[in-house]
Amino acid sequence: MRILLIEDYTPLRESITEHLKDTGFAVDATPDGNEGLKFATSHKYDAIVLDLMVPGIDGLKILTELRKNGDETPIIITSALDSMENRVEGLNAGADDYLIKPFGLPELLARIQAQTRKVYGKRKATIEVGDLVVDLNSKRVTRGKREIVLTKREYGLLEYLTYRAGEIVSRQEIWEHVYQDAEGGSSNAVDVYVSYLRKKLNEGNEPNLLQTRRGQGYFLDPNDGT
Amino acid sequence: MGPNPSILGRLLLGTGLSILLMVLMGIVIVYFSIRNSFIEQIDVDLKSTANLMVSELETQGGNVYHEWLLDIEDDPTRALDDLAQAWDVRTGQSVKSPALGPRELPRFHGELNQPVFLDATIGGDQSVRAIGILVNAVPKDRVIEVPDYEIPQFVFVLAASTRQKDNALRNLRQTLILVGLGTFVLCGVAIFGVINQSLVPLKDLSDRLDAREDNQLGRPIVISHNFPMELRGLVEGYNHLLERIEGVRKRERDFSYHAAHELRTPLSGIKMVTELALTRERSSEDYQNRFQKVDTIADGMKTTVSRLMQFARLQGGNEVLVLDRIDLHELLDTAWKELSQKTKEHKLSAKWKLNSEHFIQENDEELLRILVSNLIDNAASYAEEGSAIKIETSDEKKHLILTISNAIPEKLEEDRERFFEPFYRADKVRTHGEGHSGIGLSLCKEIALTIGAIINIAPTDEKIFEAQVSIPFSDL
Repeated sequence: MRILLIEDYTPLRESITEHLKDTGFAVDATPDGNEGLKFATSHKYDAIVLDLMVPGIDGLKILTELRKNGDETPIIITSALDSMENRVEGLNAGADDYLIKPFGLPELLARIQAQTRKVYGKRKATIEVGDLVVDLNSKRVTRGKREIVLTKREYGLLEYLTYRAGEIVSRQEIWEHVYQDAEGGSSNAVDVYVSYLRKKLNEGNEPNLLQTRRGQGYFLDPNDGT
Repeated sequence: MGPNPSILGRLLLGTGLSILLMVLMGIVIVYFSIRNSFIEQIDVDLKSTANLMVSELETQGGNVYHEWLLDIEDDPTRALDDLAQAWDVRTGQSVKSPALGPRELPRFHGELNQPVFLDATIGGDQSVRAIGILVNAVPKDRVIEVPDYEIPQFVFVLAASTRQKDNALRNLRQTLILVGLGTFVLCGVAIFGVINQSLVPLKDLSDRLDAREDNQLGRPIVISHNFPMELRGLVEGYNHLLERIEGVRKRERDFSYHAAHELRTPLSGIKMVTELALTRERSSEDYQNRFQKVDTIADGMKTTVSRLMQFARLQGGNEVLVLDRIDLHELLDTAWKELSQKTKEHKLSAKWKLNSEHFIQENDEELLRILVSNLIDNAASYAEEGSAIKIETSDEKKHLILTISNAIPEKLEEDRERFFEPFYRADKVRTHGEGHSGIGLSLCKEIALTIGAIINIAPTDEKIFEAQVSIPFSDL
């Protein structure tokens, strides 16, 4: 999942970015409103965390501009402005959620996950694909009775694929939603991690859950690959 | 008027006294007009009668003939009524009409043949109006020419009783007083009714205000088209006052709200840094770095709180001035040097023009230091990168003028006074990283007020932000 964070207060920006990355998100962070809007319009994000009072274009204008252009990316406003008027104004302008500072990192994370689940039509915090169960809160993955231990990157990749289970997901999409821009490399890295993940998901004679569609991408089969 | 003067009472008293005065004046004017008219009529009658009678004072062959007296004596009615007397000027002897009996008329006169009038009392109880004339007896000798000095002169006095006139005037006085009293009472009642009715909208207004709920206090009064125009000003003034109070309340709300905001954001930072630190085991170096971050944030909060406290003290007038000998130019230089890191980062330079001869001041060093530092810091924070900040001093009409200006990307469009509002930010940018709490200029304004100076943002058509402080001379 790729998140855009627009927050000008450095300690907050750095902490949120670090925590989201720790929990498997790819994060683009900027302190500037103009740059934030540029990011939001040129990349596909799974959620945007937006501070209202930022230099350049303020948060509310960014929100209005995105919604005006038909961008439906979930936007969570984070602000110290806690009055009813401010919250109503933000939500009416098209925000999906409004988080008042100071807030905790777990709360922000839960809200981001709630929004991303909504985008992919998943209401529950656990996603089941055949006998594969992914707990989005605890980040625990099991297949049948077997617990699968994944690295941060592998988990991020699996989470994105489970959100889109039953769909063919291109390597480019995986690259955009799971990998950090600054990490370098290319979308070939996706193939490497997919093969790691596939090995961990399929053990023994278990049906192959993660299938490759040549020239198209990858496919997490909800029917256990049968 | 008592401690709670009544408009109704005042209007009634005022109009009552005015009506009373007018009625009294009317009575006096009417009474004296009629009285004078009576007197004039008596005087006309007396004069014509007296003229006729003195023409009957004759001399012939050296003898004086009082023909007028003979006429009176021959007429029984006149014998009883006519009051006349004539004195021979030379001998002092007099003749008088029978009606006078033992009584005497007053002897008076004017110039020869010029009648004069007099109110008098004869016999101790009878009021009369009298005419007195000094006349020459009419010579009847046709043959002998009598020289003037031989013609005897007489003082002739004719009087008429004024009893009838006095009775008529007495009746008139009574009538006028009754009419006046009636008019006064009727007018008083009518005016009381009119005033009472006119005050009904005022009472309605007062009732409407009394009936307001707590949540309606700030609402303006809405008045109908037939609301009395005299009260419109009061209502408009009240509504205007409400607007101003609402403005003050909003500023106070904004102040608390922004103060909370300025503290919440770093608090949020502390919470997140510590939360993140506790998510897993870390190396001591990592913990140290994170604690350092928290410490830096806490320092920023400390600055904000301390500025807020200082702002509150200055606003409350609780700051005690500690006067000392201060070199303002040195203060400016120090403030600039303290910002060396920021000015280096923003590639800013200073353009000095220190022309004041009164830069040694007796003033509060700490307050002046904050004032100067905030202004230069503000200029350095918002100046365009690579530009020069102008720092100037000059003298003007017993004031030292300190001007600090910097280039800005856009012309100032906002109301310049708003820059002195606490936490007002023209571009809504929060610059915690540079140590701004958002009350720097507000503090400057309060400090200026405290030390008797004036601060303003100079109007300019250019892309310049220019703060000017006018400090009265206090040389040592």
